[in-house]
Amino acid sequence: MGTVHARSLDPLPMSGPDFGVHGDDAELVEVEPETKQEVLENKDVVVQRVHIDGLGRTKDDLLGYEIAEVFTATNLIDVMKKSHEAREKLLRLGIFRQVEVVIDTSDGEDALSNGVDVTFEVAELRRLTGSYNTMVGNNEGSMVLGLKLPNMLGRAEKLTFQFSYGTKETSYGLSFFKPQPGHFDRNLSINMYKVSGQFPWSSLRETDRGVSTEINFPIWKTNHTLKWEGVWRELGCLARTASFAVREESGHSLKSSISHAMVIDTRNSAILPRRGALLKINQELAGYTGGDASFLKEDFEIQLNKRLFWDSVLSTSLWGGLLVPIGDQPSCIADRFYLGGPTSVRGFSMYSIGPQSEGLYPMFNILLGDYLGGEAYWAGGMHLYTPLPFRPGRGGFGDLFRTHFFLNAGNLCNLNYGEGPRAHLQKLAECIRWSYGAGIVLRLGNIARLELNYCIPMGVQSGDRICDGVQFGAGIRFL
Amino acid sequence: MSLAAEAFVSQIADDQILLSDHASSLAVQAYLRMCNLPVQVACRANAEYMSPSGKVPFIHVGNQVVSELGPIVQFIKAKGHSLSDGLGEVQKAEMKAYMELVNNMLLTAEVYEDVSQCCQALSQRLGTQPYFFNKQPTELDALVFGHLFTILTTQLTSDELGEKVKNYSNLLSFCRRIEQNYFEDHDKDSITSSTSRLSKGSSLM
Repeated sequence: MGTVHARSLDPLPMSGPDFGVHGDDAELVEVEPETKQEVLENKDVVVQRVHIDGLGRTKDDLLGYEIAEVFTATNLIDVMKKSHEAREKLLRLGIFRQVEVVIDTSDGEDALSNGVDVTFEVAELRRLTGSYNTMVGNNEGSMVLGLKLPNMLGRAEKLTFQFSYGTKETSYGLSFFKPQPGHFDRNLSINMYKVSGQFPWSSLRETDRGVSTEINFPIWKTNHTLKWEGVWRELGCLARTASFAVREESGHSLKSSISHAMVIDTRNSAILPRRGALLKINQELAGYTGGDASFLKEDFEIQLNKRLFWDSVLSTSLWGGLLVPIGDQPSCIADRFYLGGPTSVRGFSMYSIGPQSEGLYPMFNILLGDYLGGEAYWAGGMHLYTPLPFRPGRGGFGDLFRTHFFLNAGNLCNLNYGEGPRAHLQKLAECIRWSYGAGIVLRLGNIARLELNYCIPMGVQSGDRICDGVQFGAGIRFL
Repeated sequence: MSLAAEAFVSQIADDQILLSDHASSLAVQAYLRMCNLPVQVACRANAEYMSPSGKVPFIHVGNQVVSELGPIVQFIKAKGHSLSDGLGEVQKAEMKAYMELVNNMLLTAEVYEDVSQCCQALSQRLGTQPYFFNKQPTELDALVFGHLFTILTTQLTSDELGEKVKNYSNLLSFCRRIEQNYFEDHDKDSITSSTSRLSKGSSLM
């Protein structure tokens, strides 16, 4: 939180638990006994000067916006509150290691009797920070090297480089981020990347080399992102036994697309929220700025959370998406939607629901075919999260865990776009896959979670691969 | 046993195919027709990426994918069709030797001396017979046809290569014979129509 030091003429200690002020830390200045005691909360003050100490490469004009509000404070509590908010804004820029606030009475010739000076003592981040991790995944190990240059040119620009060298694939990415001075929520990112992935459920290997630029800006309560992306996609078969449908998609192609996303997020946390809602709508149009792929893709995500009795939370979510190819070409396997798995409809194997190619020996149903994805899908989930039974480790480690009871459902198919919306809805409503079960969720920081569930899949269609019984999942986005 | 094969060649536009790819593709088509097997030709821009070995042409039969003439001959043989069964061991070895010669010397078709010497050897071996091993065509005939026909009918910057082949009249009539017997009766995939797309000249005459 940081500490706020306030020196006063009075021996009265400061109070205000919200701002992290410790009564013990207030320094007492020796005063003449005849100074009368004032109740500082009601004392009117004027903020005369605001200093920022400790700047190195940061440009002065950047910070003026963040601290401007402090000048509008009219009494001492207000000064402390606005200083705290300014401190949060300075930390949000991502250029300081720490920020401390010092409020003092004004000194000097033009000091008013009720004037205060506010000083922010900052420590800038180093010019270059690095990280090195090793990761172990599905039959693959990799070394990940990260380099970050925060505040590169003095106005909170950030350059990040990440390199991952694995036993199977190698990826790297370079990213430049620049916020608008004074409006941190409006920012620009430019990325270059090469990412490789292997998808055994489709017997597919994909390597993407791409460039993208995006701008983010808030409008009222919503956050918008506009992005252009150009990708050189290389698809290949993962095994000699890949089906012909996947083999036909092998080769190189270019995708150039513009996309728009809108997010409204009122949740208190992205992982295991207790209240609030999320609405995310994303559309992508490919082909009008060049490239081989030509389609319009829409997808949305809704999540609602409500706190119930006894510290439990009811959470419902709904996902859906539609891919409409434009022109004669059919959709590409890399653009379609996939369904199933520990982060999607639980109880089914990873992305193993829906349209698939013919297996090698169809008459014996041996060696199911490759999953080709679908052009339309929906998925819904309902969860009841409760603290662990008997609350072990309460107040500490135990708070990271939750038990949950869930119900998931969804469908993935290809639509015949010639028919009307009624036929589409009908198709999405038949052959619904669903599952229910219970499990334990572990929160990892503020970004990811682990789940260990016992699942019972239902509505299984022929060709789906299920994972009934115990299923483990790790990820950042769960149904 | 009937095999309906689909032969995939790499072809982006009518005139964008490599010389060697076209020769290999023609050889495979000739071989399949000689075996009396129905074959359809499909042109895809990503054919070489679809191929398991990275080379065109490849055939897609049922669930299986086989690429290049050698493995295709083996595959067809395993299914019960073969053109060289009637040959003795010595003749089979000879056939393999000539196929190697054609592959090494005609595949690139850049060095005119090589082409000339290769044609001379082939012409001598062919003599006055209709096919290399007298009455019945073998995979060697298919391979030679593929390469020579490509050289003769594709317009290159100079006609020198074509002229060299034309010096050997028995090779010319050999190509014509195969074209007539195995390609001219199918309208859709006919050599004459496909070569008239590829080059401005139509058949050999």
